[in-house]
Amino acid sequence: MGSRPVRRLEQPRTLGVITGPNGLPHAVRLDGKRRAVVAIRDDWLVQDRWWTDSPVDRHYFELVIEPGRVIVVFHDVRARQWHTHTPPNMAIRAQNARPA
Amino acid sequence: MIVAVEIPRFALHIALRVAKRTADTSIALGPQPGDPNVIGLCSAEAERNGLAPGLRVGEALARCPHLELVVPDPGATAVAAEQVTTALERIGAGIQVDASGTWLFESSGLERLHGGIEGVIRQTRAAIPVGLDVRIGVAPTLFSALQAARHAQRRVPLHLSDETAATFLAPLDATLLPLADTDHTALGHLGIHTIGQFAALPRTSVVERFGLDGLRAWHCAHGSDTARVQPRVPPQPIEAALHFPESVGALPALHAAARMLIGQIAQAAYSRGATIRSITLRAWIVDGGSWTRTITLRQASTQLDRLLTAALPSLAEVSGPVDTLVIRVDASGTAEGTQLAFAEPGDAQRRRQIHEAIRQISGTHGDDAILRTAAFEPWSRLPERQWALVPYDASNSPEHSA
Repeated sequence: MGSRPVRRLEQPRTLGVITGPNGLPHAVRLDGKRRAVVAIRDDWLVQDRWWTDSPVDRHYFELVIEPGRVIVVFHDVRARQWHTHTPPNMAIRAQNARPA
Repeated sequence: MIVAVEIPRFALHIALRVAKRTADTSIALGPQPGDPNVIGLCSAEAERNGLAPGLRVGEALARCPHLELVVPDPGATAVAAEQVTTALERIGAGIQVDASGTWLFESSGLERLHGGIEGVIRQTRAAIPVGLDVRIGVAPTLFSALQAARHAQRRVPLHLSDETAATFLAPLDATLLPLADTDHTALGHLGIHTIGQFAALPRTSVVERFGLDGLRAWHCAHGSDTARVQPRVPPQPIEAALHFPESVGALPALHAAARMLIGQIAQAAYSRGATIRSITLRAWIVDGGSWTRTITLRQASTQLDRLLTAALPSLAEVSGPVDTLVIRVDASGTAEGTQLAFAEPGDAQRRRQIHEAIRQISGTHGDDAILRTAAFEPWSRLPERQWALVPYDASNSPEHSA
């Protein structure tokens, strides 16, 4: 038996995010285009794996960006970088994603 | 080989037998009380006079002034059908009762027992009550056997082989193919009116236009469909009846009677260690005829409240005063059998085909050609740690480990 490759899903990928003076996302660079953030629908903190050598400290934002799409991004507090789990071209329309 | 047994106008024959009448005149089943005012199955003489099931009574009488109508008796028909099924099961056959009232079974396990296919047919004929016009078709596939039975002559079984099945099917009407009504309409618009014309279409074109249903129909048309007989589990009936001294028309009285009978039956099933899968209610109407309903429970049970909840609402449909109420249940469920079926039996074949396709693709393109999702840490708060794609290993699937 050879080694079996395992491909993890929803790997974070780096994303260009322009923040305002308050540190909140102001615009997102997606597919080479600048998309303004229309609204921040939700935000939450995830602090995990603090017992390991690579602890996780993230601030997640669920954003509505132009033209009416939803994307989840997070700010890696330790690395000071922005990422998203959403694969390219997978940002869904805001009206479909809005909970009932 | 698959044997199909068809008894044309079965319900009419049974109603005539109950009414002590013969079928050699223009006679047809009348409408049930409360049903649309149309006739049901017609005798051969009535059909020669231009009558057909579904015709309005007024128009039928206008076409055939000597037409006689007989009251349908679904209760007696169901009892007679069950007798035929049981008699066929006694020769050792696993019976599938088709929705159209045809009995189907595989002959392969019976041929050595009864001396070849002729012996099986002889036994089959002997199992059918005398006086019923039985047609028998024998063919390698389910669809061919059904069509053979429908086109067989009386007393002459129609026996098709692998070579003759497609030739026999070719001139038959394409509407017999198992397709949706819209697909039949489309076939008509395309000028395809016979099964042979449909079979002559390229397979890929059929799949493209009609999907998987079309592919199944295409195989049927070629006499190569792979559907197998799905025999029923022989029921373990428990029956209780109540003869009313005076006819009962009030619903509360019927409910009270049904409660009592179902209570007795549930007790009997429980003491046997069995559970009830289905309940058949039969009411014999004072003015003649009967009413019958079968309720299949989603989960076999002997809980009285559950049985009553399922059965009692149907009694509101009884069409007239009743002199006898019969409740019959199939108590073939086991006390432990509470697990629901995860997949239809028909899925097994599709799963086998999928596994074979996976095996071939993996063999050609390597283990990484087909992947599946696997839960790594589904409880994790980090999305990238929850799921992963791993190579699909068909040998570890439930199909192979079973």
